[in-house]
Amino acid sequence: MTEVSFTVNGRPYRITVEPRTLLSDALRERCGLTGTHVGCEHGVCGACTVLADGQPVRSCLMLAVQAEGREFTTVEGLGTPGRLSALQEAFHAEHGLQCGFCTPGILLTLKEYLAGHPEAAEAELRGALSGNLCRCTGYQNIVNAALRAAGRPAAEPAASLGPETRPGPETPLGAAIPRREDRRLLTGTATFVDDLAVPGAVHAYFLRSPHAHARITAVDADAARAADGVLGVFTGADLAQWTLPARMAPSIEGLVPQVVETLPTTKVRFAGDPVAVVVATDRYRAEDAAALVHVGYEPLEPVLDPAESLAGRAALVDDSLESNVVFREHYSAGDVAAGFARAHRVVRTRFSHQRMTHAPMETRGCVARWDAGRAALTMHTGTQVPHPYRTQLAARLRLGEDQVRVIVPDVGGAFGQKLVVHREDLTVAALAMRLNRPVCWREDRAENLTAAAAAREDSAEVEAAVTEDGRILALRARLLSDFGAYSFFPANYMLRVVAMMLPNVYRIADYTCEMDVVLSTKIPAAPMRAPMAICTWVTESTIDAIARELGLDPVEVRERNMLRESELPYVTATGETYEDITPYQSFRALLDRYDYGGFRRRQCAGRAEGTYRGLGIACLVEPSTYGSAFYRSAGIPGSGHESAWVRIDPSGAVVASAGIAAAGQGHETTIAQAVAAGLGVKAEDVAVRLGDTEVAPYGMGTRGARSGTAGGGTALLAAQRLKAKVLAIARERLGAAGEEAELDIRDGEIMRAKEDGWVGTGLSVQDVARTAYLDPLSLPEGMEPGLAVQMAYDPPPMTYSNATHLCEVVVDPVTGRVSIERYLVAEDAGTVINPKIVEGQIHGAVMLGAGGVLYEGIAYNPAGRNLTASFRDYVLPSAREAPTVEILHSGTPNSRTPGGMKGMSEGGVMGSIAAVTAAVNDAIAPFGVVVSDLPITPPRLSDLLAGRVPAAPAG
Amino acid sequence: MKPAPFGYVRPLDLEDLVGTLTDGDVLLAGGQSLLPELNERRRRPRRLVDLNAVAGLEHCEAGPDRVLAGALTRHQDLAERSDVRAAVPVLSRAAQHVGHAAVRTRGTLGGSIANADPAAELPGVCVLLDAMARLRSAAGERTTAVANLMRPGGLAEHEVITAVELPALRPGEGWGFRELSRPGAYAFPLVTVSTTLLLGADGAVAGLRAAVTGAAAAPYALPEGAVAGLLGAHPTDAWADAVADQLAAAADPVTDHYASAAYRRRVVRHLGRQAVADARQRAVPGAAA
Repeated sequence: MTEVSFTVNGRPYRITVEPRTLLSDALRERCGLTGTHVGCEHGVCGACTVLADGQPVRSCLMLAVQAEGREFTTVEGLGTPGRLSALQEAFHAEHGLQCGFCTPGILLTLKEYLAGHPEAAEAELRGALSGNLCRCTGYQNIVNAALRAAGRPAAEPAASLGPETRPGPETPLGAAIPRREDRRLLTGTATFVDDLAVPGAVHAYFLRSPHAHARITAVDADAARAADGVLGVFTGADLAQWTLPARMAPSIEGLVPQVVETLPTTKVRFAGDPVAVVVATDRYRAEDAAALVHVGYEPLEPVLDPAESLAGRAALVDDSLESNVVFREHYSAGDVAAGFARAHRVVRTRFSHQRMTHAPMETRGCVARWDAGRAALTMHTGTQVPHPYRTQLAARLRLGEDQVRVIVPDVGGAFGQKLVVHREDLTVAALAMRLNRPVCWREDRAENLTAAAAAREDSAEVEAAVTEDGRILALRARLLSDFGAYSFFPANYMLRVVAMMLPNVYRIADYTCEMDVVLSTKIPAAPMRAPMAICTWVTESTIDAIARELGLDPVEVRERNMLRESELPYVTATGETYEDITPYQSFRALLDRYDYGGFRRRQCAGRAEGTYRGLGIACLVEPSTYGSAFYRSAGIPGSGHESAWVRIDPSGAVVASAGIAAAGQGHETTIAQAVAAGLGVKAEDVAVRLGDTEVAPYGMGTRGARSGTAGGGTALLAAQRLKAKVLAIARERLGAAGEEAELDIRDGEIMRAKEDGWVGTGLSVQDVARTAYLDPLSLPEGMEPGLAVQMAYDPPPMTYSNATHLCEVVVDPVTGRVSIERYLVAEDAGTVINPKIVEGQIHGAVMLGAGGVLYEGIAYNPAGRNLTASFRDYVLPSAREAPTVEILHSGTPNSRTPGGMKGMSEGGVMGSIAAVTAAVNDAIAPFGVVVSDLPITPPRLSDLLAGRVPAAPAG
Repeated sequence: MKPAPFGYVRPLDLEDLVGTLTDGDVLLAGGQSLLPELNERRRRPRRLVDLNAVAGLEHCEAGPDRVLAGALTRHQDLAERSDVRAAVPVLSRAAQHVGHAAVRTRGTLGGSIANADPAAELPGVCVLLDAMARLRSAAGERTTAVANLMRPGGLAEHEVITAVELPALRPGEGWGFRELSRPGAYAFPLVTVSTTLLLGADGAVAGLRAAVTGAAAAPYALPEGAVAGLLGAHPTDAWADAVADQLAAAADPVTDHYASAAYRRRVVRHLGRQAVADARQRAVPGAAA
């Protein structure tokens, strides 16, 4: 042990550390400065950046012993929640953060950079930021915040398209206010799960299989159990006694029931599968002991190719099943054969999307605390769905649901990865009970990239029967999805929505789709932001193929097939009802704004000079919100309802809650706006409490772009109901003067209508609250005292928003680099609660899709070992690669939802996969090849084009 | 993802340092490559010997003839110091490409050489300029070409790089440095090409150097035989293509899950053309005189 002295933010510290203690851990755990976040521990993500003697350093790449005599600045030294620095203020104003996990590192990087380069151009700023990863924002608002902090005007705001249906700025609904979450996130005072200081806590570390597929022959943990600081080593056999396995057995036709053990007892099914857990006094010692555990493996054949599984030629992944095929369905609508019989031509396309992973900047983790005296478990974890999580966790621990409390702290991104009770979570909870000690688990980045969850390894084959002028007569599709090693979700969960959405915005009445889902020895699948996203790519690229084969313009083919607003409501071949959407308007408006004709001229001129420019267009409808009726009709288990409560305390303070849980989307801000709108108070006067199952009402949580409509909608309804009570009390209090008057609440004041507007009554919400609680005898006859409303609401089966994406790229055929020159989105998301939040969701979603097209991908070698276990090899886009998105809003209200809201946070992914791929294909058209396998990384694209001579430009 | 336990010493001078080195020791310079290896437990040294307090190792002097950079000279100093840039501009440019600001403030020239990554920027420039490394061990001092340290066994047991001597470019000598890095935040180079070019008074090529990283097991220079055939000509586009072709011909790249060997070879040719064009633009005719 070594003693080190240094100062942080001007304050001296003297601590004793091991030589191996990382500076990041010393700052967080020894100095209590948890604003410095650990995102990868291999020096790529930049989240842990601090200033050492004024210079940026990665604190995960310095030892604490090297801190001697140095002066550090961490995020806590930049400003306080009550007094933000100018840089922090700029981030707040520009929505330059979402989950906020990467934010401290970004602030410190920028603080140093802007001091030396106040005049830096946007491209230079992006370069300076490119060592800091962000998974939420798409970097656009971060760049805008940096420009604002440098005293230069930010980019122009999003344009409005078509009729302005959004309410005026005087109502809280539709106001682009800054987020209330920001102050804590910007100052290092937020609490992520790893920031919880839990006295007496011990740390769990999971030993994972290096093999893709192997029988476990022995686990020898004696040496590990005897190691320094170790409380125990536990295996699947132990967990089988303490917990129940997961049963995935909904009665869905075509779906094979499956059982998943808490930890495997007989064989491992992917490289990363947990085989044992070590509990020790700290993470360092837990890892030391894990290295002493000897597991005997008898390797089995890896299962990597879904086609082999489909053909029955692969080894069996789940020994209790007859085959690796776990879901099969054949859907058919209309007369497909007739469509093909009268086709002028059949256009065939194929698509293959690589396996991706969510990669939230904050990995998974939890803290489980068992209160033996009360026989109660408290689970702190960043789940997206606190109540369904509680139901699952209690059942699998054989506890009553009343014995389990789930508390969601600040969460550093989720994107679908934090939806279930993970096997590790359940293990940690069981250990807390057995050991009667609080147990912490924080997944590291290698585990997150190799073992957390994966998505989108889907392939499609499509045949389109078309007329000579490009009209689609019928569509046949075959979908195949690689679900990975285990089913933590029903295997039809994602693919079914792909199949449902394939007809997109086109008149395709005759449609058939075959679906197969297979197991493999890869990371298990989970829905990832827009789990159905490939549907847009498949259909839009098929449209482009039709245009190509018939020699037509792709815009023309879309014109011929696209639904017009006058045809709505329209029931699709898959039974979905489109209404209150504007696909054609968005499409036309975007093309008009962009100057499509001008692009084709530039493209032609460029090709003559060896510049390969391409344009991709993607039209989409985004299914969102998912009401209970959807689940029933789709044959997927689940409820779509949401709950909220709103109360006014005797002092007049307004508090609200709902069952949704945020992972960076700004729910506290939007729920406050919805409540403020419903009640008639200012948004800033509404406190919001989310994520604690003892506080929030039972709701279905955050997923499927449902939080605005289901969460915000329910909160709005509850607030409206509470408002009616407030007004009834006010009317009683006003006596004769109130009887005839039309009353309303504005900014917390009770107002009365007069011919020329509204006038005060002298009463406020505060006065009414005092009466409601403290003077019940003055209430209207029969009214119960107090001011609180709790309600549940089940939204329509689906709400649809729509968008058109347009992407212009330049491809360098030698290096294979694709640069996105322009990116436009025309979005109709109905009534928007907070336009800046909506824009941030679009920016981030577009980048998530584009990153998947161009850079990201999980890779396995032929033995099934994971080759992308770090951010060196799993490439997330940086600020340098991210596009600037130009947004055109329009707001056609949904006629069936509270306030006219629609969900919208996934469509950006759907659109960008399609638009970026199409743009690349348009750019490389002279080479006579079409990309249908993703990702199009620079080396892959270059290899594809190598040796091909581009055709000379025509005309 | 935490390091396995190790011992730690921080010697204060070179004598202490070479006196203390023993089996199982690993030297810690900037730590920007070593710490990830420790954190991921890909390396488990018995003891870390921290060079950062050793007197003199951070000293860097630049004059008209050479840059003598202590092994702990940080990338940031190479990138930003005006005297370094004046003497060896190609080194400054290469250093600007290393990682990000937070890596350049810690990473060192000596560390980059000792780490001997075949794609890293600075060893490539050392090979280009035939830079010499000064080494120290208990057995004494020696000097060797940095290129020799890029191969396995180049650095002897318990031997420390203390400084690197890089000859300055001649006045009017043109230079170029081009890099293709991986996308994303890692930004590690896939391939780099660096060049220098001297022109005679008639504009013909009197001197040419070029080096490549990321396309073979170690950085390599344009082979002498190839250089000989390229001298004396006028540096036309066709000549630049010939240089690039020779660089690509000398490559011996690998295929991995990120990129094919053929891709790496094409990138060498592509960057080679660009780096030669940059050098030609900067070269002053008559500088060779």
